[in-house]
Amino acid sequence: MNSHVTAALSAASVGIGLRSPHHAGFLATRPAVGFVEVHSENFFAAGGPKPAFLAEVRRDYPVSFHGVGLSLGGTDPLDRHHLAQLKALVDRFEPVLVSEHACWSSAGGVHLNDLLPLPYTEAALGHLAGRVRQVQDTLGRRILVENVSACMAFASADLTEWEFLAALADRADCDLLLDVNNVYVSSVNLGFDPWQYIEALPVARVREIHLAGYTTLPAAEGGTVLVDTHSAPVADVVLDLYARTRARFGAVPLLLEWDADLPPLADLVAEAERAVAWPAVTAAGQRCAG
Amino acid sequence: MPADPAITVPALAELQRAFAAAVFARDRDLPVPPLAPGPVTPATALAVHRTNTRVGFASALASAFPAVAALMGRPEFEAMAWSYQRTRPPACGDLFFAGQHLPAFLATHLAGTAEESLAGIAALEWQIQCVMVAADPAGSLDLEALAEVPAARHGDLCFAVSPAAALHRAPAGTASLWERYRAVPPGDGPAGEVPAATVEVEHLLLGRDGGRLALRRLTAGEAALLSAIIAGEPFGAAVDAGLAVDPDLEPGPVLASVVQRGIISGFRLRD
Repeated sequence: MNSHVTAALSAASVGIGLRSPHHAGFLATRPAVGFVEVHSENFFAAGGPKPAFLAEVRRDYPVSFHGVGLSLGGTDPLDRHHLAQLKALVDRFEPVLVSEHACWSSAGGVHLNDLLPLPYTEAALGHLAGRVRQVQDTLGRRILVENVSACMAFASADLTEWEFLAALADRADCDLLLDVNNVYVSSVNLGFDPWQYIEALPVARVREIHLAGYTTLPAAEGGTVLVDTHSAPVADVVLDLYARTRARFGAVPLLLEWDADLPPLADLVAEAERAVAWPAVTAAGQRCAG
Repeated sequence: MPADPAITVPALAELQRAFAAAVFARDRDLPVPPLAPGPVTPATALAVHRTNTRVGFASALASAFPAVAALMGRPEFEAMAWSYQRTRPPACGDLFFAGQHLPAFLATHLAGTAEESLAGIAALEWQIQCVMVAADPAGSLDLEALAEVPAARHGDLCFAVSPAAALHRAPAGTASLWERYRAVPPGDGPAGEVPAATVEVEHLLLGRDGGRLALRRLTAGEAALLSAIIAGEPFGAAVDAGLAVDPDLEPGPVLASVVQRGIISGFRLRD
């Protein structure tokens, strides 16, 4: 299956997640970003201002569709209406990338509006790979599947998350969207080495990288828990991990996500530029000159 | 040897149902599926996902129902949203539909209270959302062709109406309340007083104008006329329907007004 990463999106592209409070400002200022990413579901409208806005953006920028509602790892039947709407959107706007999450969001007919981690078992892997293939067959293109953040791991797991994702890419013939912030958040919450995770992912399959800010919250029983809130600048420790990731994977499109407590658009663009310029860290822990 | 997915996927389904039930449970002690030991306890993990589920939903709902959120205030709105979410949890991953059942929920939830009229505002806000995502008209009205229709055939005109046009019947004063509070950010308390419920009604015509909502108040006669047009009745029958409600109705200016607003997108002559 062919990837639809076209010449319009260079491997070195740096983009931003474009959210509705920034729509008017984006068209007014046309910031110099390499691409924009929107949540697919926000543009399922049949008509009206949203598709009109997207058409205008699409004329000048490569656009990536990032889904949050398909519940790829869920065991309820795949939502065919949702998938049909996604296909119509993809056919109409021809995005450079289409992505979803390695998670589940619904059970027993109920949606939780959350991205919940799967138990990393062979059964879940086979199930998810089958659903990813189903989506790809419907869309007629390869999609990227993103790792989610976690503060829990199911006891039934018989694979690590990184083994699970690497096997998923192989079995489903899909690409991966590596969220470095999510890896870091999960590594702290679950107690693993984030670099061991990243190093295990197949280089050729990682076609986009996400960065975002997390929040540290107090845990009820003491201690803290990290939550992937997308409401803050990217933490320095995550940027260090990103710089190391960049060295391993080479130039891969980078996307900054920010969904809550949004800063002004110019600050969002500046944050993306700060990330891509972040110097590498030496083995001794010192930052190299940019 | 890996387990056969066909055998163990039911266990995955059961795990997901159990965790989802724990997230939505009123009983905070409902057990979650076994978790691997780690720095974060199961109780904290459940609390994080319960917060994610609740906050994301309430936030989407507040964006879609801004006047209701402002008039309730953030704490009451969020509590109501959580109650609504557990009563009518979303059945799909498109948050547009999150508020589909909110007007009915509020009508029941607030019946007999001082805030009863919030259900009417919620119904208007849901209708507005539907108008804003409706399909664009397939074409535009050919005014020259319309002008060539002989006067004797005007009663046989059947109009095509923009999918984004909707008539809405609401308790009197609903539109004014919405206009006043739709842009007020929800605060720590109600932004204003909710008026007492009334049996008086107002008729509204909703549509889009240049990507923005266009709202027009109608008389009862105008509403009857336009309702018949939207239902596909020939213009003559629609005029009769309007005049039956308001003998002083002047159909011509009403039609001209909706044509000017892009509500009418085409016509045909009844055979």
